Amino acid sequence: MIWIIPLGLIIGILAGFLSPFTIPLFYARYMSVSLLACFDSVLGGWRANLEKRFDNVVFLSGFFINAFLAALLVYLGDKLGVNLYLAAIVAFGVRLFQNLAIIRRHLLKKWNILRIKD
Amino acid sequence: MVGKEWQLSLGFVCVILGFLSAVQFRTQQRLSSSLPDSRVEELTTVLKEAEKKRDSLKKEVKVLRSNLSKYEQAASEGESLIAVMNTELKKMRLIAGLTKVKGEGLIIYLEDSKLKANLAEDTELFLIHEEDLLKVVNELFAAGAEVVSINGQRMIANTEIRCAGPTILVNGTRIASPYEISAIGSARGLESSLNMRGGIVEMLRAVGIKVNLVKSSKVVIPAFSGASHFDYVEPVEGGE
Repeated sequence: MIWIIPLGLIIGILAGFLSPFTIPLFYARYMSVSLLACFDSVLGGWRANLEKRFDNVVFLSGFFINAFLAALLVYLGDKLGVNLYLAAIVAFGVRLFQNLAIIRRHLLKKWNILRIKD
Repeated sequence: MVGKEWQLSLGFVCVILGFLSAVQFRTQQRLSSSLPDSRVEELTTVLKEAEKKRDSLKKEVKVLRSNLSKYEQAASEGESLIAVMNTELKKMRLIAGLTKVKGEGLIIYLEDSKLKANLAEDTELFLIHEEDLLKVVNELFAAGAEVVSINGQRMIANTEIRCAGPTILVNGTRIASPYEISAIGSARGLESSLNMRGGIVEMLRAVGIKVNLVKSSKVVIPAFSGASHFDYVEPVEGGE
């Protein structure tokens, strides 16, 4: 069943490339931050799963609400003349790398155990 | 502990993530392909086309004018009434600026200042502006110039002299430094009125603009080359 994850990703990418839909240039900036939030949520979900504390509700709500809030933050920043855009990018970027590092460690641990068993 | 349900939701979310990433990627590509450069290029071609069209229209005006003069010629071969009307017409054409003319006069050469502006000064001060040209032309007419042209653009009743960025617009044509203002009239009179103490020449020379006055017994001024449109105006019946 684990193949459903990369399969989903591939289907999504194909759909995105084949669809005629593009984002209006004005909203492209919001979209990019939302996308970063989505990335972060997916990595967060993977990490939670590795730590055996994955919760479906937390994950799904986090995915959508984070993406929405990120876009909202950028919008608010634009209205106030503050570059909250940068804040969102830095915050999500840092979390993204942290999650990646933790996942890497978990995976290493997993494979080490396997190797020992061999 | 959860079952396989995490894989399902992660897979579902990955579909969305992949879709959004791909769409964003495509949007970004479109964004980079519509950089201002392409806009500039587009505008350049539009400008070139407009100028081409203008040139062809000018040619058309020329052809129509020559037709008109042919008709006039044909008419002049007719009766004396027509001959009288013809001389009247010639006079009117002279007034309207539709004939190439020559005569005694003055040619004024103006060139932007070569002086470097200090940091505190405005570089604008050392360039020739449309106001300067207006003042010179005004002075020439005041001194009795009969016909005046700037860089070959004949001054007629509704000629404009207008700032258009780095160039100046005269009769809808862009001209730039160096400027050559030709005037037909009493050469001495025109020269002395420009050279008046505190006059326009002194003022221009003060900011380093090169002014050169040349008296000539044979100044040639071309006819007005544009087209006149009268879309709104109508003559009043019985008015003189």
